[in-house]
Amino acid sequence: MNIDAEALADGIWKINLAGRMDVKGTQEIDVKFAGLTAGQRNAIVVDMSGVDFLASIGIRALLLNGKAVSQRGGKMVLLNPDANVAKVLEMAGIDMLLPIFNDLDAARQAVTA
Amino acid sequence: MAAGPQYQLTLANDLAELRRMSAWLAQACGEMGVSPERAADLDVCANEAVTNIISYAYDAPGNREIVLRLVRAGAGAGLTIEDDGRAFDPLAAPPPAAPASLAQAAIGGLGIKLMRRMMADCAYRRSGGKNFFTLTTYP
Repeated sequence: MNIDAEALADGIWKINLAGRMDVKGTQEIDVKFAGLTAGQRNAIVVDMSGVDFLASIGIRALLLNGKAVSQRGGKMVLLNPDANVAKVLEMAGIDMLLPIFNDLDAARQAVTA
Repeated sequence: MAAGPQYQLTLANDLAELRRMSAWLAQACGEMGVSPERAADLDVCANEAVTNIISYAYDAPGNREIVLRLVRAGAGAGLTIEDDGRAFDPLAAPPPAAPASLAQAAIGGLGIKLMRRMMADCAYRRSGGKNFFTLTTYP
């Protein structure tokens, strides 16, 4: 998998994930993902549009990082998962914990509200 | 109903084999005319089931074989996963309760939850010292 981050206005960070978020893919980005959600970054939008497969190990990574952000008073949301990935998030009940947006402006508002 | 073709793949008990499994599933489902949506459901659940087997079914390290057999099941597909590990039902652990908040979210049990919710049927049996776990997609 690939992962990178870009700073948007208003202190928002967008983390871009791409590739198969299976055992191998998640292990490839796990440490960097945790690093990018650590520290003072309290408004995080995770762009899922490049992720074409999601297994439970990937959901765990999303949850763990979302939990870390939430515990220090920040917000993390997911942006633009494809249909199959959105279905897995919904089946796992994760859409209730990590809100999903299909529009960047709405996602930005959600993490800065 | 006439039996259609059966596709078979043998994996080593190594998580690095999951990508080869997914590529095989995608090709075989495509050749059988299974819809991309159902093929994607099956790919997720096969990843979960085989990951559980490789991670938990073997008492001792060593090279073991996991045999996958894929058939058409109505409008969907049925995948039987055979392994010679100890008796192990991939669905045996109870499903996690729905977490009320991110802070309370239990990390784990998600794979079982996904298999139960994404498949029309999941069936386990022990026979001849082997485990047989069958995932059947929705039509």
